[in-house]
Amino acid sequence: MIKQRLPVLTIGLLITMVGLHWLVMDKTPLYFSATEIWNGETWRIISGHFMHADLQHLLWNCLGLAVLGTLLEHHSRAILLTALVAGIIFVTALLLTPFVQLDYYCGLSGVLNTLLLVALWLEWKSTRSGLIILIACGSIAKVLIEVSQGASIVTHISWPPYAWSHVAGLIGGLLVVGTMTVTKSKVA
Amino acid sequence: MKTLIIVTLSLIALIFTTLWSTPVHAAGLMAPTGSGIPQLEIREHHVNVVIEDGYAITNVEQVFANPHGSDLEAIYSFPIPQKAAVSEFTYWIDDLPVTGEVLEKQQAREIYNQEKQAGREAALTEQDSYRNFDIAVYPVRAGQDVRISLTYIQPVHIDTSIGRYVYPLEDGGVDEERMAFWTYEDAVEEAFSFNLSFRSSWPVDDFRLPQHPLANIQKLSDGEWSASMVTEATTPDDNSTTTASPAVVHRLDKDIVVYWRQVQGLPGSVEMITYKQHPGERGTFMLTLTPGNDLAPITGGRDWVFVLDFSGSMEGKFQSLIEGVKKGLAKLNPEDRFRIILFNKQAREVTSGFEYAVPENVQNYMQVLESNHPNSGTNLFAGLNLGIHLLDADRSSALVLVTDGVANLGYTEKADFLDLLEQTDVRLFTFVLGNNANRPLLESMAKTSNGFAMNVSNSDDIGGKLLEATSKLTHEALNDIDLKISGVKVSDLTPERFSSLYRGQQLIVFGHYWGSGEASLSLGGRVSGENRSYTTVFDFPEVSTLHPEIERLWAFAKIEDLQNRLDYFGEDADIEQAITDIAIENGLVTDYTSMIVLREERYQELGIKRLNRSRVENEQLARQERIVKGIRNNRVDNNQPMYAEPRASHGNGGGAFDPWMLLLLLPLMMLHLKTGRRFQ
Repeated sequence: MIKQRLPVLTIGLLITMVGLHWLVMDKTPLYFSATEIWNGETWRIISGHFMHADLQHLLWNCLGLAVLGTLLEHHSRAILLTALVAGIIFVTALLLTPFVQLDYYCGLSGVLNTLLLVALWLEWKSTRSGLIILIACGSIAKVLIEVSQGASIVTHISWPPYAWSHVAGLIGGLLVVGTMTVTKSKVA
Repeated sequence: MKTLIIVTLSLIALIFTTLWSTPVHAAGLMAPTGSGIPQLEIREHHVNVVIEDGYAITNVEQVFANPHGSDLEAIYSFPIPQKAAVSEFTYWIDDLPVTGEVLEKQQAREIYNQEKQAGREAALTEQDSYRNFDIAVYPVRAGQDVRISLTYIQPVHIDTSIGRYVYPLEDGGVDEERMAFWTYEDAVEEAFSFNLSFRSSWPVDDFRLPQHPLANIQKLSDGEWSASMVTEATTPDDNSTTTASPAVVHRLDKDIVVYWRQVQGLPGSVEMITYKQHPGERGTFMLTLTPGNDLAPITGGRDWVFVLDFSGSMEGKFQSLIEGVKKGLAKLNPEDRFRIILFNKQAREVTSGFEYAVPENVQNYMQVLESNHPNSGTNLFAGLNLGIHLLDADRSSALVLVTDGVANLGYTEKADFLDLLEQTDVRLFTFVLGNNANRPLLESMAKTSNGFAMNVSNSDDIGGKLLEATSKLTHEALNDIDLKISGVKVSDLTPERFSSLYRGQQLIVFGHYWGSGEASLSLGGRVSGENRSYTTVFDFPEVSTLHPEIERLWAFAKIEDLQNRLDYFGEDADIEQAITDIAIENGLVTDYTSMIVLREERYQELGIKRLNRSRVENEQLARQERIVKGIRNNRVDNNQPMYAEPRASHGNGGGAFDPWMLLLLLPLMMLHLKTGRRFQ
């Protein structure tokens, strides 16, 4: 049974993102930077995902979090938290590999893809609606197009897009879904 | 690699903290200190900049006023912009603009003094070595004002897809004799404006003046931007415009730095602009090679030798410099090693040989550094010499030199420094602080060692410069560069010698050509010991009249080459005469030539040919034509691209959800609500 509750975690995260954007003047120390993380500035692992390059970047990611966060939090706050942590871990793991040569990265969109996959799984479980399959296919197709073109399809934020973070987020989502399925089977 | 990045970040951080804490001097009107000569006023200062086709044209128009009861001479000085060639100097005599002519320096000065003594109008622009352009105008009549205009051109480099333009105003404060003799007036009292027009066929996605947030920046199209700042004094009748107090609308004490960023993923390319007025004549070309991003990251640790200036001119900056070094060293890996050399009138090592970068060592040596106080002169040679002789030949090493000044003690000749660097295999990275450091010397040294020199202004953007330096130190470089053009006769290529090409750097080459038709361009070099070669073919045009300014740019680059030869081989009358001849033919102000403006009839009376006037008229016509023709694509390797990879850019990345994604989420939300899940 889904509990009706105020999505306080989602609201808290939204306030944090907006607050960081408007209140922090020098954002550079908070952006994700593999170099600086290896040098001990480990807070960037978390803060980088909640920082945004410009207002458009912030706006779209806030809207995405508002929808997906609320949806997941209605299921369970723990699931939202798990998905967030998994997304951060997977996107971070990608960004720390030597293949990625970004100086700085920012934005929650990679992590939002983890939330998206988990939300689709939860809705599929409760509705078995074909619409979920369509949405999943559309989302994956969009990410693949972005990866192949190296550009965002619609938005044009001031930093160049890095679509591979979306792929990492989706993989993180797959892992959460897999873990939930296995755990549930064992409990059953 | 990690270490490289840390050291670079820290170094740049220390440079910026250093610069920010530094009291600055400025461009302005000069009067001898304590002479009792009344100070003139700068009524207006207007700067108009056009950046297109790989070079910038800067026009500065000024009005000086004399509120006093007797005629006076105006002497205005400002720092020499990087690689700038003064091409026009205009003085309004009887309300009509008169263009200047270039003469030998001594001759120009004598004529100026004669005219001044005779009470006739005259104006003179001289170059004070690498430090300043000095403009003298006589007379500024009692109770009246005079108007002058100066135009200079300079190539504009794009580095790692980021362009940078600096309008320098801050004096570095390194010339103590000059500072003691002159007082500066840098206040503009009635009107100040800065207008920049940028046009490029490559799309630009960001344009900014980081230290001037009030500048009005407008994007006109993907490749066309403008930036402007205007301040005017309020008059009783006009309160429509303005900002500052009526007494001072602007102070000429802060560099204006402009950045623009090309969109990511643009191709590596070869661009060429040419000037050839008539078929059969000699043509001039400017080739700009923007390499593809194919230089791999480098790995492995290094020894670092910091050579730090603590001469008197570093007073007020040194404590910040120590903080920067401390911060940098604290972040090194324990297995990395460092040495620190300080130099003023002599050099000494602060460390005791190479030290591992463990916290105890760092703390210990920072305390030692803090016990030092900057003073005395600048024996740069002693500092470098000590640094070089302390290197460990068996380990990969880099020498980092930070200085704001001028070598004035010990060996001071450029040839001595170059000889020193050629004795050893070390890369020198020089960070040149402010506008008046000995840039020619520091840049030559970096070039000789295949390192690079980075100029840093007080108004520079920290993030941008930081990214620029790190991306170079963390990647391989193209060494032993050899550039060949065949198929069309070319000559007089400049620069004569290429240093290494680092990630993101462009290679700009000037030269002359004869004839026209298809030519083959090849660029060879070595990367990590392996040969690498790039080729393309393109056409040289028979006639091309849009860019007459590149004749001056070629001349300026050629003069730099000749000056380097003089520095190597000592005084040579033939080379000096060659510099003078090239400067006069192309109308350039140099160490050997000056630009003088006289009453129109006096040119004829003195037998001075109006060569520069014709050249200026031609250039002004070409500028009008360029405006009419709009933005041009100067890329010439379209048919056979020279580079397979896109050009380097700073690797920032982000990603956003977008309307498409939210469109996909809508049915999900609807489904969720439909199945009975409601918000409280």
